[in-house]
Amino acid sequence: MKEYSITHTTVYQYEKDVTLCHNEAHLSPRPLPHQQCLSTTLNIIPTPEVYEEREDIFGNRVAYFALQRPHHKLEVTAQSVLLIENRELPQLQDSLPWEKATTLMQEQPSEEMLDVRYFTFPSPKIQTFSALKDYTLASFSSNRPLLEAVMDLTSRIYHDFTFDPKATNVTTAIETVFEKKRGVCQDFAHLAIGGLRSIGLAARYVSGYLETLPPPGKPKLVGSDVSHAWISVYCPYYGWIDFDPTNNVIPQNQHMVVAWGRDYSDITPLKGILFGGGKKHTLKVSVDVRNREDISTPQSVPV
Amino acid sequence: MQTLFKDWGPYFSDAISYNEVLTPSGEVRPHWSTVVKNIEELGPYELQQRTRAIHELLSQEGVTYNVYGEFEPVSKIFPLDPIPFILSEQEWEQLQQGVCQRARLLNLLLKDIYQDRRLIKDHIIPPELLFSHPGFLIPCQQTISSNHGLMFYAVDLVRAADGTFKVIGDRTQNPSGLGYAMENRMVLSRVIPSIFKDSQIQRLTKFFRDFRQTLRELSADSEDPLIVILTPGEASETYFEHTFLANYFGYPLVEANDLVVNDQQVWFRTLDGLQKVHIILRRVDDNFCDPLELRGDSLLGIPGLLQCVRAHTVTVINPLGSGILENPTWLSCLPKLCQYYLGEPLILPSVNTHWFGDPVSHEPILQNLNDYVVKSVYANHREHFVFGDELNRNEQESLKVKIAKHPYQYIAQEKEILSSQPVVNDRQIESRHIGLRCFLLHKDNDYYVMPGGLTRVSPEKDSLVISSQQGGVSKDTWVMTFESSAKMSSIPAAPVRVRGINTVPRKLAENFFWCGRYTKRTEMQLRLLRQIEYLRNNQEPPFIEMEWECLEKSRCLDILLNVLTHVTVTYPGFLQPNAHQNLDQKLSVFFHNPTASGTVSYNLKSLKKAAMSIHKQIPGETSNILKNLDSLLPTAPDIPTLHDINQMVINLSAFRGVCVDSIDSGWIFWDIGRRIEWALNTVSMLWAVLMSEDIPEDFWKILVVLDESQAIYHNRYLGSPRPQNVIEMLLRDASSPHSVITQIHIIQEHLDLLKRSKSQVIIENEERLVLEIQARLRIVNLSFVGSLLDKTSPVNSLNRFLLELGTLLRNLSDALNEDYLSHSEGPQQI
Repeated sequence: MKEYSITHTTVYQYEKDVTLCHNEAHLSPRPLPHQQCLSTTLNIIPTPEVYEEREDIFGNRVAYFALQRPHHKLEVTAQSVLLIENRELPQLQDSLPWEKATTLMQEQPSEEMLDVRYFTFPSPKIQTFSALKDYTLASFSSNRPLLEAVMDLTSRIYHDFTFDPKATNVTTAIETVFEKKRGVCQDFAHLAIGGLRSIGLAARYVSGYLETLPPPGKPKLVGSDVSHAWISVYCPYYGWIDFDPTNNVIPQNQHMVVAWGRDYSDITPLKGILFGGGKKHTLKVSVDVRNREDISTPQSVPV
Repeated sequence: MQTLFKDWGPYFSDAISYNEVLTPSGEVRPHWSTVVKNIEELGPYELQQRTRAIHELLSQEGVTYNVYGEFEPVSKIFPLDPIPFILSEQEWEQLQQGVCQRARLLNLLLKDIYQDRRLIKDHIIPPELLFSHPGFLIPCQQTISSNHGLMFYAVDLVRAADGTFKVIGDRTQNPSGLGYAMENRMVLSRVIPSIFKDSQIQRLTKFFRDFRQTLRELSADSEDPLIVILTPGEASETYFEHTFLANYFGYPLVEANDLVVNDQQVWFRTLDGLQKVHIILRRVDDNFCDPLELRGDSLLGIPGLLQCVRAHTVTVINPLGSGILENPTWLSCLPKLCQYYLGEPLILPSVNTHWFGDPVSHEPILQNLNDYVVKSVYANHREHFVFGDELNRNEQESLKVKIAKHPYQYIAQEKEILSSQPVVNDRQIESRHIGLRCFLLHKDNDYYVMPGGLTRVSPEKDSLVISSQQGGVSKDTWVMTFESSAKMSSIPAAPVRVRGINTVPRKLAENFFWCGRYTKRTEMQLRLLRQIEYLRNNQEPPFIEMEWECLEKSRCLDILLNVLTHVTVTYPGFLQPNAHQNLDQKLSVFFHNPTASGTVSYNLKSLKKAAMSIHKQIPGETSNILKNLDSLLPTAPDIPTLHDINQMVINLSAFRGVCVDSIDSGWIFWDIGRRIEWALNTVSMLWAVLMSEDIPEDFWKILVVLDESQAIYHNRYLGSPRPQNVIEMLLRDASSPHSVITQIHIIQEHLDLLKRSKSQVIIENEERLVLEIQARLRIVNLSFVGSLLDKTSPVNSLNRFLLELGTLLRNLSDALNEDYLSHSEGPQQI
């Protein structure tokens, strides 16, 4: 069991006054069996004239807010405290052959299975293509246990692709990522999901945070973390199992889930439409993930 | 006497399609007999004449349809055939039951799709059918209730060879055609009233009245709701219809920029401030309606709209997300869905439809593609289909590959031989296939069909394609009745509420503004060209002062040509070396190129476009005046004679006169536009003159003539025009109606009026700019101008002043745009 405190700050600064803006935020973590949400607040400066919360079709928490007076800066800070249980690593080789999983999903009429099938189709940001399917099939040899094959696929993505924040942006198509072999967590997640869907499996996009550890002996820097994204695959009898292709791990207790959807576009952390603001704006994002134990134990200075 | 219909018998007996007019034995069907008799009485010649008259009237009324061209949409007349399509009362009764049941069914389906999706949980359809379709919009989950569900619905029908009606498609998000159907009835009854003789036809007006009444009652919190029609803009396919319905119902026609969301409520920006909008009748597709939650790059939508729907402060018709019902895959499972939702069999069949996503064998279809039409389940362009028999073997094979790759995305529909109907082609009657679109309204918890519809005709004799994009005429659609016409007579419509004159939408105000600007711009340009023509023909410009005479015509001509290039911003134009050779040819381009901005034909086109957009606000004769103007422009490469240019100037003056006398609420914007253009033109003309070297003294006379200020100059000064006096008069003589400062004074008066009517926003920019322009005009030192001919530096400083003045005037125009007209800064995504 770990307790995390997360601070996610986004600051927009505009060239000219923004007269009106409408925003949507997926910044409040959803409660899950392994994840308790002890507190969560969204602090917006200037204070929005309208603020409404709801649940979206996937059960995520969404906030809509509007700023209706001229402002040249918008600051959104999401603060949450999460209690995370250690998730057992699944026995990868015990999962059923992947072909069997696809037929089961087609044939089994349970309500759960019907919902799962929503995640087997192309979505706004994830279109499949044959080269990606071929790439995927290299991990999915005949009758290979599903989870083992997924681990292999995400692991190959980890090795074949280079993490490079300059190579892509939020609008880059996964074809381009596939060609350039470069990208960030969001791209690798999209790629893995696209591959899994191309062979009939159900995969969803998970957004959240990751605890990063400072180099030994050094204190952790505030704001050095980033928001993160990984994937979740449906495996009959196991349910949804998370994989992190960017770090080549299966999330256990260092991944904090905020929301999930078909792809990034369903759960963009913060988006908005504004009027005015001029042509240029600057954006600053900082994320700080603190393990509560770290906070309570003062850093001991070696003598 | 030639007979029209008798010649048909043999023609139709060959046909395999259902004949709408004749029985297989060649008899006229009873419900057609009266009309056939009436048409026979008219005779072929008269029928041809009336067809032309119909076309003329449609053209006058601007009944158009925008066809997507290679680069930009092309506006075409939406043609109407004089022979109606007729349905007997019995046929109609049957059809009515079928389409109403279908509407009830689709309404329940829509609600279920965006709520519990029982149809998937109960295994009525495979989840793929819904989840693989991009028209299923997840932000719309839980936003559709059955009361405010499918309010307005259109269904596309064809009649199969055996005489039964079948559905080929459903129009659910923003059905089009209602306005064209009404327009067809109005035009036909005006042009050929005799054709209606002795026929009892059900009227369309009751449906329109019910429509208005129903919308009125929809709003829970207002007795007098504000209902607007949201259009994507004038480039949209059916823009004519948007304006038609707006006028017919008395609803404001708005674009996305006219609406704004504040406090989870949609507001209409009017010059009076913001007004609460209760109901939006939208003609924008689902995905484009809200850039916050739907397509982020859409400029046609209102950010925050879906949130307002969730807050129940506005009703969108049809609700966002209803495009999912247009998925043709539903046709393949409707009988099942009908049993499921309504517990009864489906009355009206659909064309046989096969979905390749169904887990059954597709071989029987793939083997016989010739008998099918293959469609994509989600067409960005509505007309996305291919006839199997129009493909060669290779094309069929590659289609099969595409289907195998993405089976969920394709359906095949059995090709139906559509029923045939006569149409008039010159003096003959020819056969065409037809399709009928019917319109339904949700009212008192049930659906009502308009007794009529929009009948469209295939463009070619053997074609089975019914598409407005691909041409083909339309027909008035008659539903016969046994009831006496007295009972059906029109009841006066409920009075339409008249809104205050300051509720001019910003878009309309903008159109007025540009109409004013182009009126003045074209006028000034033609006057300049007229002077050029005088000098070119070595004629004396029409001086009123006997002693004025232009001796240095050729030098003056050179300067004028340079001025023309500067003022119209058509560089390099006549500024190039040797540019004055081949003058005829170069001037011809100047008159005729409609795509280059600054040319006469471009300006005329823009003026016409602006006038079209406000044509309901200005008298009909303006369209004749504009037509005259067009006809005075000879065909390229000829350039108009002096006489013609004079006539053009006169016509423009007439246009201006009619506008001044009759524009109502938008007048202020028209006049502001005109005066800004006037001031700008004078400033840039003067600047261009001073850019020239060696200005002969004679030129100042020409400048005075150009400004039409001979009398004004004469009343103020003695003798031949001198530079300083002319410049003084043009720029800051407040007693001259033509001076720049006078234009600014008048704009200031208009702004004062507007400010009074504007309750909320404080005008800052415009006022500041107006004051600045006035001040600078007053203090600028013009006394050095006498030495102008010495080419000393003060000229440069005057020129700098004129440049700055031009910039201030353009800023004034921008500021007005910002505060009163459309937002120059659209929404942007972050």
